[in-house]
Order: sequence, then structure tokens, then C-alpha cells
Amino acid sequence: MTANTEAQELKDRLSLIETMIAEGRRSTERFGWTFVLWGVAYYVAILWAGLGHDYKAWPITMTAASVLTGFIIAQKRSKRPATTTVRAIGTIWTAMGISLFILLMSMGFSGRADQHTAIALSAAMLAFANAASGIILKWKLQIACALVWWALTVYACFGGGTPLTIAFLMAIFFCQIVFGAYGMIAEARQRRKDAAHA
Amino acid sequence: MTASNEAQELKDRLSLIETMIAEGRRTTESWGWTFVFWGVAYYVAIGWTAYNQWPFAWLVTMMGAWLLCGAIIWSKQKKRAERRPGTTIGRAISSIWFALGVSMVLIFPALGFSGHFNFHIFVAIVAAMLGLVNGASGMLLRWKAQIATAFVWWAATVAACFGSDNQCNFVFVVAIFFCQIVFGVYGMIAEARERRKEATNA
Repeated sequence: MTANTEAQELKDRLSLIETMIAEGRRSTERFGWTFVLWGVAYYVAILWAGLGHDYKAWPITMTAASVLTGFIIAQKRSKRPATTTVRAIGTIWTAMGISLFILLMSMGFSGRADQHTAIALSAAMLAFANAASGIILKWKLQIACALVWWALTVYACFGGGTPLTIAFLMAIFFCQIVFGAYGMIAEARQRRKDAAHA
Repeated sequence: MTASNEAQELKDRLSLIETMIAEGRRTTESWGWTFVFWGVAYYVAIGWTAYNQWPFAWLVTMMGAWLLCGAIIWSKQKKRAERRPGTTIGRAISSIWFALGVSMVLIFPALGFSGHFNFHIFVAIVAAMLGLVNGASGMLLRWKAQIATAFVWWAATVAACFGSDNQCNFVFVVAIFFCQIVFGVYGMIAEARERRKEATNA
């Protein structure tokens, strides 16, 4: 292969990666509703567990949210093959969901979970998924969400009681509800733009 | 765009994805030594803790392993003359492992220094996190062997929570053996075979 052809191949490859990143970011915006749905699900579980002192609050709410997410995604699934970036993001969130579910259920039912470890673990896993996605998509806003979750991971180990609950509620608000709503608004704006160009 | 053009574009895209998956799998194989390295590091920490019950055995071993692993990666990259840009899958996999590294570096010392640490929780978290990264990488690379390691780690997560101290220890040692040592050696052998094949074809 000549140096010229190789340089051209590298250029094509980089341009394709850029296109994939843009498409991946748009795809994440399309999934903005899942951030909002899970943020609301966390609030429901926290409220139910806090008011009702019911140990079933978290398993029931999380299972219901998983089923509802799976159902809506199945309904919305596009017939076009996904790009590599979109597949990468999908696998990260799927694997994170499975791991967090198995870990929290096992720790909960074996009596090894307390407020500190449960919040620290959830925050560390959410930070992981947001950081990996943010780095892949070169998306500063999502990396900022990861930093918030990582800060909560550390705080959850040392803080406690009401301040910890407030910190958890705030992290959910900013990194799930606000970030999800931002994605939904960006997607709606893009759709309007596409419709105007069509 | 005509239907024929669109079909051709989809075909090209799928073919490119297949190439990227193959390349990503080969990159993971070339990192097989890190699986073995970390498997051995875990064994050293387990053995050290069992030998004299020193509370900082894990912290010291893991920090030492981080430094050594970083130094080896740095010296390997320095030696490499040619630098090709990574594929999307390669970037995705490195971001997955990087994010895992940061999460682990933050959560374990924080749990340890705040007094919320016990061996069952430690094994459950390590297993869940390694299940997570191997699951994500395996699904991305469509690599059944790596997905199988994720299942072993997830099973270890459940066993660590419900088993006794001895059972938890046993499960951890067995999971490390299969998912780090065996899988890492398998990657190293596959990479060596591929290199020999390339040398023969060159």
C-alpha cells in the first residue's frame, strides 16, 4: 500500500469515526427519556421505602422500571442497523443494568446492604456508565454527570443520614432528570430541523 | 438516495463493523497479559492477607500492581514505532476499562477508610464490576468466551453475598483462575498464533 493510499484510508476512517460519534450522541439524546424514567423510578423507590418502611420498595420499583424500559425500547426499535458507537453505548448500559441489579438484589436479600454501601455502589456504577459513554461520545456534559456520581460514591462512604439522602436526591435530579430532559429537548429540536429540511 | 445505493451503504457499514469487531477482538487478545497479571496480583493479595492478616495487604498489592502495570504499558507503547489510530470499538473498550479503573480506585479506599468494608462486600463488588466490563466488552466483540467470564463473575457476586467466609474465598479464587488466568492465557496464545500466521504470510 502506498503512503498516499494509507493516508487517505486513515482520513476516511477518522471521518467515519466522527460521523459515528455524532450519530451516537444523537442516539443517546433519543434515549433521554430513559434517564428521566429511571430518575423518577429512584424517587418513587426512595419515597416508598422512606414512608412505608417497606423492604420490597426497591426490588419492586426497580423490576417494574426494567420491564417498562425493555417494553418501550422494544416498541421503539429502529430497523436500521446500529452504528458501532451506538452498539458500544448499548452494551455498556445493558451490562451495567445487569450487574447493578444482581449486586443490589444479592446484597439486599442477604442482609449485607446498608444505606452507605447501596448508594456508593449505585453511584459508582452510574459513574462508570456515564464516563464510558461520555468518553466514547466526547460529550463533556455526560462526563460531568460521571464526575458528580463519582463524588457521591466517596461522600456516601463518609457521610450519612439526611445529608446523604439529600446528596443522592440532588445527584438523581441533575444527572438523570435534567440530563435526560436536555437530551429529549435536543432530540425534539433535531427532529424539527430534519422535518424543515425534508 | 436510491434503494440500491442504500442497500450498498448498509452492506459496507456492516462489513466495516465486522472488520472492527475482528480488530477489537485481536486488540483484547494482545492485552491478554493484563488479565493474567491482575489474576496473579489478586492471588498475591489473598495469600498475603491469609498469611499475616495485615489490613493493608490488599491496598499495597493493588497500588503496586497499578504502578507496575502502568510502567509495562508505557514501555510497550514507547517501543512501538508505528502508531495507527484506534477503531471505534478499540476506543469504546479502552474507555470501558478506564471508567472501571477510576470507579474501583475511588470506591474501595473510600469503603475501607470509612469502615464500611468486609470481605463479602469486597468480593461481591469486584465480581459485579468485572462481570460488567467483561459483559460489555464481550457483547461488543460478540465474543462468547468473554461473555462466559462475565457470567462466572455474576455468579460469584451472588455466591459472595450468600456464602460463608470460606465459600466466598473459594468462589473468588476459582473465578480469578478461570476469568483472569485461563482467559488471559487463551488471549495470549491466540495472539501468538495470529503473529506466527502473519509472519508466514509476509
